[in-house]
Amino acid sequence: MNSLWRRLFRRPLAWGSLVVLVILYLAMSLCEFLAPYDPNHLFEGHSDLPPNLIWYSPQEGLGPQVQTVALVNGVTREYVRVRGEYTPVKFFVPTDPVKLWGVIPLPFHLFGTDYGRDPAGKAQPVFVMGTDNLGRDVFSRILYGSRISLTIGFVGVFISLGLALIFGGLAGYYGGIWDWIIMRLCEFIILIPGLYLILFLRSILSDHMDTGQSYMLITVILSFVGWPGTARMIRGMVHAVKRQDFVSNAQLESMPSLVILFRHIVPQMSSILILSVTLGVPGFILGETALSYLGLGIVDPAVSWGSMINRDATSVSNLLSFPWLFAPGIFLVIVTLAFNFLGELLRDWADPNWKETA
Amino acid sequence: MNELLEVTNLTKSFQLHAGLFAQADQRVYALGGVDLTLRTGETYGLVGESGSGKTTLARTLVQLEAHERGTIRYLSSDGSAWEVRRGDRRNLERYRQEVRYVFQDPSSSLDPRMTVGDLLTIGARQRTRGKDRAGLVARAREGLDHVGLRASDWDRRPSEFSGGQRQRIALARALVTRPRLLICDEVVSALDVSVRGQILELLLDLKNRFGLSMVFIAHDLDVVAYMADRVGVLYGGRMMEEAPSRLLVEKPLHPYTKLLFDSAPGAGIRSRETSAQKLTPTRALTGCPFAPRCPLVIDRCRTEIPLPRAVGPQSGRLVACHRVEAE
Repeated sequence: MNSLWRRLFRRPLAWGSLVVLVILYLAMSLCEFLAPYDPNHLFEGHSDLPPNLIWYSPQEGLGPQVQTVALVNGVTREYVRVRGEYTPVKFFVPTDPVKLWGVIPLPFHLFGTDYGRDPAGKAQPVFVMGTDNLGRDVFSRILYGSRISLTIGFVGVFISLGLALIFGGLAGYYGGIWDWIIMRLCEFIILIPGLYLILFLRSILSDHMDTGQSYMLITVILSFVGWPGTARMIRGMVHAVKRQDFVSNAQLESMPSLVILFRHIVPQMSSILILSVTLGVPGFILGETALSYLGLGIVDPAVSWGSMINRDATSVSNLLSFPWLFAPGIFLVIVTLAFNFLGELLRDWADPNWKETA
Repeated sequence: MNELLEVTNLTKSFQLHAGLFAQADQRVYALGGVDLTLRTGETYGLVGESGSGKTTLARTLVQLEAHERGTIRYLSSDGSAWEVRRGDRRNLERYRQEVRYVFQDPSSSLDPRMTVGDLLTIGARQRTRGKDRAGLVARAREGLDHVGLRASDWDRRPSEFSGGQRQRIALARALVTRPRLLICDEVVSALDVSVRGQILELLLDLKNRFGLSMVFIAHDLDVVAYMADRVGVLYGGRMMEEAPSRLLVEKPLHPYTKLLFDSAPGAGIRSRETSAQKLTPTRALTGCPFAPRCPLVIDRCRTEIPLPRAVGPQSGRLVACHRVEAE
């Protein structure tokens, strides 16, 4: 374990990735507190507003603040800034009541403005990453959306890799009739066009479902379609490893087959397993994105990065006119890269022949 | 009864091709009826070229391969004798604790991802279901000491050791179950010549200290003669000659044994037939397996399988050859 930490600090990319992921997952778990607004709150008159957080103005001086804007063209959503009208951004402001994890009532959010509680009615809301066409805060939506996007990968990889390990491992180790049955099952599932299977399952099951259910459903469907390929790969590797002397040696020591499989054979594949986890996580995030794009994934009012990208960032004109709507895509890229850099480190660490280079 | 292991007529063949289109009759006859007795405390040497069946014999002895015909009788530590079979799981488990197989190449017989401590204890940990952990660890550490490794090596992985040290780990692992018989399958072949001597000395030391019996396999006659009390010479899955090692070195009788001595490096080429032609017996033998290469071959050798006969007075020497006269 020590050597893992040592190696971690020698690699700025891996180190940075870990920090980024920790921050993102922390933010995910605390999103009620960190997000200034409800993800579905519609700010009238603020549709498609660009990010409006600024750090300096003559009136307010240095500090986070928001300049008031006025809509001049309702069709092209053109705004002009109003001279001299600024709203300071405050920390720990009491706003609409929310509960952390749906349990602990929160008296305030991390930051916000006096919008809605200002007697003069002049205060403006703060939009760190702008708003979408309904006037919803993109930043809050990204935070709330990460609840789905950042966990679906882990849950999905856990299910599909678990299935692949069990089935592939058993097929490879025992061989014979079990191998035949499991491999035919895999081929059968691979034969079914994945996308149509997903569409089919989703459409017969999705009628009256809330967010949680459809989220679970998507995860399970994605893992169900994903495991056979990995299982075949694992089977092949088990086949190769089980002929090695140390497996015979373990058999001579009368170890139970399952112990041999999981203590001796599976660890030999750890680098490939780590790789498939770190590549699988973004894969599942993207898979959810694809499903959302087809309208079969997370749909309004629930929010995920995939559904946001699908909703706001799939037309060129949208991207040209309102580039801030691509923010969830940037988060997606960052998370994917971070997992890959971290996976690379873990793979080297798991490799017994890897030598530390100065 | 003094025989620790009594092997009679051990036969094993492998299918040459696997799968749907395999020809059923294409088999490789690896062992064609081997007889062997091992007395308690004895070291039995096995020599032969590649493909002579040494390793198959050793693997069959621990039932890594199931034999087809013949019997292996083992005199267990509690005085009862039983027949070693694949199906007899309870006895087999005990047999495999008392009879340990040491592999040729320690870099492949030790899991590269485990630490030395894990390697030594994992087997026993499974067997005892986690009971007596402390005693096990103590025994394993003791074993590490017996093979000349340091206690600080406990947490290191096999890749951090040299070949000789790895073979020491493998030996320590075998010692954990307190074996009575070690089956050493070419344990020094993968090692540097300079380390070979050390490992051989270690084996002798362990043998004396724990009163081990040993089956020692090598293709190097000199090494086998040095280690073993009695030596059996295998060719084509059959025992060609068996004799006390001193007698065998002094006067090899079987033409194949002579050839083995002659083809050893440094011996000079005395025989006409020296190249190690690979023999792959894919048919059941009708005569002596060595007949095609034998300089003394006569017609009888091709039609009649020579059986081991005692040669010489009370020497315990057996030769399977039509051309060697019973003295």
